[in-house]
Amino acid sequence: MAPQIAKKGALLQGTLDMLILRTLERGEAHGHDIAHHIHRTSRDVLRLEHGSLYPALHRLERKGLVSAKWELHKERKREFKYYKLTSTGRRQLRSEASRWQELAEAIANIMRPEGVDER
Amino acid sequence: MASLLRRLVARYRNRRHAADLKEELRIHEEMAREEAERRGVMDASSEARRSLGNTLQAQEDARAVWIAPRLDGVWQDVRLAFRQLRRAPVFAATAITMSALGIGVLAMVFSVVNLLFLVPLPFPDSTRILTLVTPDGGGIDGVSFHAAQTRLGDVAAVAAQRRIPGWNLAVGNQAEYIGGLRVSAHFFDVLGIQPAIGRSFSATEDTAGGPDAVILSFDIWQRLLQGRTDVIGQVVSLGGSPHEVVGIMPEGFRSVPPADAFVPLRLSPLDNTLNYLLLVRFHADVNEQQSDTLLNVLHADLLSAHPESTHPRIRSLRWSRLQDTIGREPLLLSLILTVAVSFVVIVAYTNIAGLQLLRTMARHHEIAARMAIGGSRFRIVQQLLTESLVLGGVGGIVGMLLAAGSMPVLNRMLPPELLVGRTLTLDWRVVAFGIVLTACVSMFFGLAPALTVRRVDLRHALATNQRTGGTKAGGWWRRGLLVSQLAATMALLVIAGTLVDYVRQMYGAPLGFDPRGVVIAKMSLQGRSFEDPTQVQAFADHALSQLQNLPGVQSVALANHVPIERGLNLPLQPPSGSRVDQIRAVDWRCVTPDYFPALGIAVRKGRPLTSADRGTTPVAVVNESFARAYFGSEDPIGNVIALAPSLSDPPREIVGVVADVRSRPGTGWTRGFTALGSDPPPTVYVPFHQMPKTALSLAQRTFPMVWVLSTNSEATGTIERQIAQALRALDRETPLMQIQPMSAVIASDISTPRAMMLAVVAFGTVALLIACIGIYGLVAYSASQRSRETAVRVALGANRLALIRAFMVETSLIALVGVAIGLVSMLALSGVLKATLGSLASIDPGTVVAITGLLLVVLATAGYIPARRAAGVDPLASLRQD
Repeated sequence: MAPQIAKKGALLQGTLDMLILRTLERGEAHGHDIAHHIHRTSRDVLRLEHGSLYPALHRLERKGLVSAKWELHKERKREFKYYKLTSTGRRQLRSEASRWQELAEAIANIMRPEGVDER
Repeated sequence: MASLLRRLVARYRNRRHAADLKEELRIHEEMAREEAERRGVMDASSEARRSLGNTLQAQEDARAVWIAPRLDGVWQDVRLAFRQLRRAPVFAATAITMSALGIGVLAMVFSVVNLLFLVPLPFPDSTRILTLVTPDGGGIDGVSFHAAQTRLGDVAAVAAQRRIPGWNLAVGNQAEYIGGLRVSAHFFDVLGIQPAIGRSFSATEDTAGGPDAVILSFDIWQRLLQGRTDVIGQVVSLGGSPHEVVGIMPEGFRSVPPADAFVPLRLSPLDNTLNYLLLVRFHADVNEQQSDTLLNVLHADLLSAHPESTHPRIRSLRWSRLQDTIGREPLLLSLILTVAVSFVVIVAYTNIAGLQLLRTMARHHEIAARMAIGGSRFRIVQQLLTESLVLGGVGGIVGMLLAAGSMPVLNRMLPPELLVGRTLTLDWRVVAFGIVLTACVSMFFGLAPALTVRRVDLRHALATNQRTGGTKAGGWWRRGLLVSQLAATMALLVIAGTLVDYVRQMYGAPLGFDPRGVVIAKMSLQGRSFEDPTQVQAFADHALSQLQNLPGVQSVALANHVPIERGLNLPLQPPSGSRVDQIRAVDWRCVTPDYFPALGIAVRKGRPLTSADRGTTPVAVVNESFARAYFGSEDPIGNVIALAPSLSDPPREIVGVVADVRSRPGTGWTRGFTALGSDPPPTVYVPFHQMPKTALSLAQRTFPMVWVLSTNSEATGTIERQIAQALRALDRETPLMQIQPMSAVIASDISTPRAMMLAVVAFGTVALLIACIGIYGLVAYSASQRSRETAVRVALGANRLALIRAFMVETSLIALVGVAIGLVSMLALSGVLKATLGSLASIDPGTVVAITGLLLVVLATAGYIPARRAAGVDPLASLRQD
């Protein structure tokens, strides 16, 4: 099962992990918050099936890139599971971000309209 | 590695995570609903649920993250294997039984071997107790002992011992025949166990002329002395002479060999008989190198103290652990058993493998389908291997339970000389070894079916819809397995057949005497009242006349040995004109004149011993074997023979030759385990009343006297009781050791080889059964594989007989090859068998032919039945199936 998902949306899965990590870099958050944030910040472009968010979070927890804890939310008076970025996660985010940057530039170079000057 | 560890840890937290996940999704849905409500959506809850997406899928995926696929897969496979086996109970039961039997018996045999050689003797640091022996277990003499004491006394505790086969121990009016050991003063220091009560022997007691002391065993103290606390200082009668009790050994103490009474050895430095066992325990700071150096020095000492002729023997003396001297004879027997058992294990496991192979091939369709929808070949192979492992594992556990349950039984069967106070238990090492062996063997034999999976042609398997797929490789594996199975079965059957022959020959061996109605009673004539030959003879005469008068008794004789059992080994000087030119030991027996008629031993030449032979003319009667060995075809009568001078027996004239009588070999002329299985050794019979003092005391010290009574009574029980009563009335202090019919003596001679034979025959039968199942399966399988072809041929009018023949050709070829291989390997092993069991255990060509024939016939039948069934199948039905 897991390998099949990897084959289907390999690019998306890896990217999703990175997006979650980036969101958590701002501070700890629970699942709903993260989904909300990604939806908002991407200006409605990336709309996760929220149900695919949690497997991703669990994956990150398994890999040790995030840590999780049930905490009481003061206003809501209920417990939420908060996720926090670990130092390993931080390092992973750095490397993934730079890789993404390279990838994006490479694709942009290929996709540049024809006839523009090579400078 | 770290992630694997994390996965392991995570497995156990799986449930908590699943609960967490559920909770998280619920919260998420709730929040989404609230949001939708705020936005003013109509059906907020469904909108929320929709936005959540596929919850179930999410749960599955999340679970998939936590579940470590590889680990859980193995557990899944195990559960699947169990389920599959439950669906095929016959196969499972057969396979488990076979492997259980194989492993169980192997474990039993290994436990015995373990006990003999690995479990240490019950002495402190017992591996440090060394003896000095020749390669065939021979001992040393008094000269050597004193030399060893001088040379090694500073760095080791040195002692010697000598066995007393039987002694009359009398306390008050109770008497018992017990085993004894003569030991030197430092004996208990070497063993490392001191008497629990009292003390060990002092130096004065261990010197000639010193006070007679005895140390008793715990059991004897309890039994004959009622465990009284004032036992030290008590006087008991040992062999008729009084001994003062100076010590009691602790409970559970066992010497090697076991003994109930220990007396001082008093080994003189002038004693040059080789009957003594040297025991040495080096001090803790002496290492192996140093002890070897000391051995060389000791060799030099011994060589200089002994005549030239004994030098080769002295040079062959080596240090040996006391433990290793115990298990020599049984080692050979257990080797044979181990080999036989190994064959059974091989046969059993090849059969399991063969059956599995068939099952795997039958499942090729299923396997192909699985692979077509994305199952990995590796996983399927893994699953098959797991199945083999489960089978083997369950079989192994059952086998271990079998072995464990048999321990008490085996314990009772093993003689105490081997046990030496230890108990046969299923050692954890044997269990661990059994488990590892089972795992390896089942994996190995499970590989065969598993590997055939790799070559499954998906398209072909799916397209033809054959229920029984097959591959070329699978076919060769099958044939190979079957061949090895047959070879092992053949070898096992030949061993079994040889043993059956051996035992049969023993039963049919001409005894040389007539045991019908003969009763023997053993009595040890020891002590002061029997020291003088005239006293013994007077006692014998009185007793003989008493016994003769018993109703039903035809003739009575007194001897120091009976047939079947070993005689006294005495060195004989080569008579002049004989074909033997060196001093050799012969079987020496002192008998009263009625011995020969009582036992029905025929006289071949000259005359037997008569009551007139009490006088001063020393005579002797020899057996045919002696006559042949010493004088060839010449008449031995009239020749004069004499024992070695140290025994001070006068030269005797041979007056008659009697028939050979079966006896256990001990003099070195013949080899073998049993009397019935060996040729009769050269024997000399001497009149009881002419026995000189030295020989008499020698005889008394080592063997009891035997009353031989030939009776014509059917009621052996009654007459035995009467004889026992009469004998007991003769002398109160002399206990009756044993009374039994001669037939019982013969039976006990055979008992070990007979038991072994029965075991191996049982193994052989089991193996044959298993091989038959294998052949049956093979033919049934290949027939079903070609069922379509067969159906077509039958429909076209083919002769059924021809079809059957076609099926069986392959089978017969395999059978022949397997049998041939088995035969060849057996011929190689025949030498070993002969060396172990003696000349009778040769592989008789007739037996081999018979067994080969039997095997081929049985196999042919096993193959014929399924072939006939396949050929008789309705062609339309089988064609329609496809």
